[in-house]
Amino acid sequence: MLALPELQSRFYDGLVFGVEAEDSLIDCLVESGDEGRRRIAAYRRSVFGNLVGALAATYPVLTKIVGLPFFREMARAYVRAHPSSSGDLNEYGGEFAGFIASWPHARGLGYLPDVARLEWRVQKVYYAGEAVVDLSALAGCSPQDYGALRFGVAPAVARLDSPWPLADIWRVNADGYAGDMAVDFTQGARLLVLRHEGLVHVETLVEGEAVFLDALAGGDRLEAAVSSAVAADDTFDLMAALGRFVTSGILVQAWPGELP
Amino acid sequence: MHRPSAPAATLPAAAGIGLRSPHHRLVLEQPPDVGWMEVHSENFFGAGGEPLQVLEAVRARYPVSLHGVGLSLGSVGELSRRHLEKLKALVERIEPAAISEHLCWSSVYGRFLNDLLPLPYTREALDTICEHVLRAQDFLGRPILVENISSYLRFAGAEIPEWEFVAAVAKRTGCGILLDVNNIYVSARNHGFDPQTYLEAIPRDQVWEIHLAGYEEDDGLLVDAHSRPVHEPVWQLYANALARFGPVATLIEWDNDIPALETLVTEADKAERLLAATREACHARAA
Repeated sequence: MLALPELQSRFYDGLVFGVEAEDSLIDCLVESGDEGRRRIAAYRRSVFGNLVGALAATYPVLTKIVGLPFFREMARAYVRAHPSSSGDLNEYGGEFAGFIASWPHARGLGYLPDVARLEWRVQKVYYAGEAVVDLSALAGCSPQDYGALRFGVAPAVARLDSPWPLADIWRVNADGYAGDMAVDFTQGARLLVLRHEGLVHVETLVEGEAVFLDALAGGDRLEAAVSSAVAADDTFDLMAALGRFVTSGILVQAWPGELP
Repeated sequence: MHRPSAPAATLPAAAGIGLRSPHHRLVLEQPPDVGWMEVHSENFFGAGGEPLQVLEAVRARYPVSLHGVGLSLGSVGELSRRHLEKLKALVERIEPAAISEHLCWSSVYGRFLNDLLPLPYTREALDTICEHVLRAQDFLGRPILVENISSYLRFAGAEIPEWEFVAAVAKRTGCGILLDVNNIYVSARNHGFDPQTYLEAIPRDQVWEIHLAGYEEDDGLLVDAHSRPVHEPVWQLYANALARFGPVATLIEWDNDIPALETLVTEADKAERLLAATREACHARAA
């Protein structure tokens, strides 16, 4: 009998990798030969079923776009290349986008990695913590001090910019969507992922809004964030952007001057 | 090390159901008449959002059991501190009536297979898993329950039968046993042992919860699919288990091809009738 960690390593390799690794696992079993192989195969189906199933649950739009058989092949290759590192399956799949970008069979579908990036953000936002809302500094702030304000972004918010029309790809692949599937692939997207009453929504931003929000999220003062936004997009409307981000629960805290 | 002797909180000796996401909304709108509910702990490890809100609302109505699938008690090395911390935070938030895990392993050197994998039933494995059960109980400040798993293969060189291994873990750590009657049946069929022998090796007072589920047959093996109603021979074995252990909190587990909520409740009702008959038999004996 091998020591426990050696036996478990053989089990891992025998399930995940090819025939040679399986042979050295069979040596450790009561049942040998084909009978041993049949029993290992039951575990292989179960393990890959769990891991591939977890990926399919996290990446439903990707699954829909490429179809389940193709998705399964891609996911199985990912399982072999990227071991799960947590006992919580909801944490599995964070490197899927990068893997897809390098997987030769997906090379013709350049937008797939960004779809994966979006779906990973959707998952993160779904499970993120609740915001602690405190905008009292806004009310107590005199107009000449507005420029020094800093803002805190809610935990359940994520951003993604893409050269692909991700918002449209997302919309036409949503459950229950029955409209026109045509998407203009010449258009990129600046996305905001947010949670409202437990459900995750994907919205689009114009360039000024995106630059503004990223600057505030990065800790910039309001005046610096506005300068960046205007420099990038001369149609930027501060009051509209601030109103949108406050009412939709994106900006949830405000501090006068220095960060606490 | 802290060695608890009795559960800090207990599940009612009634039938419960597993709470799964397709039923979240319905369970809150039309709360079913079941004794308690069980969830997979890891599904509520997130910091916030809808899952925790649902679980808190469910907890306001029912006793809840937190059933873990990812701690990997049977791996060599330290238990994941992060996993334990998330579990403890959830325990503090939900105040569950029971916390359970599995007598299995799922990771080696930090690589996870995220499945309930069989241990070799050796003294080394027994020492490893007992150390980890004690560590988990110490960290959580209360006893846990450990569940026997289904298995499809056995390792050569086992030193004791599985049932003695299960009993020894409970004896050495003071933990409860979550006896999965379907798993006993599945493993008995796959390995050719008598499931009654298994039941009779399990100490009477350590069984604090029972699981029932439906298996599937796949390439000549029974697999623990949690995708069907409980099969007839498993109901029979359950009746034998109740005769030995008395009325014990019993869960209907159903994780794949999840049916309508009322199907789960019907299965739970069936378990409840057997529990009621056991209670009557116990009273009659006592009178």
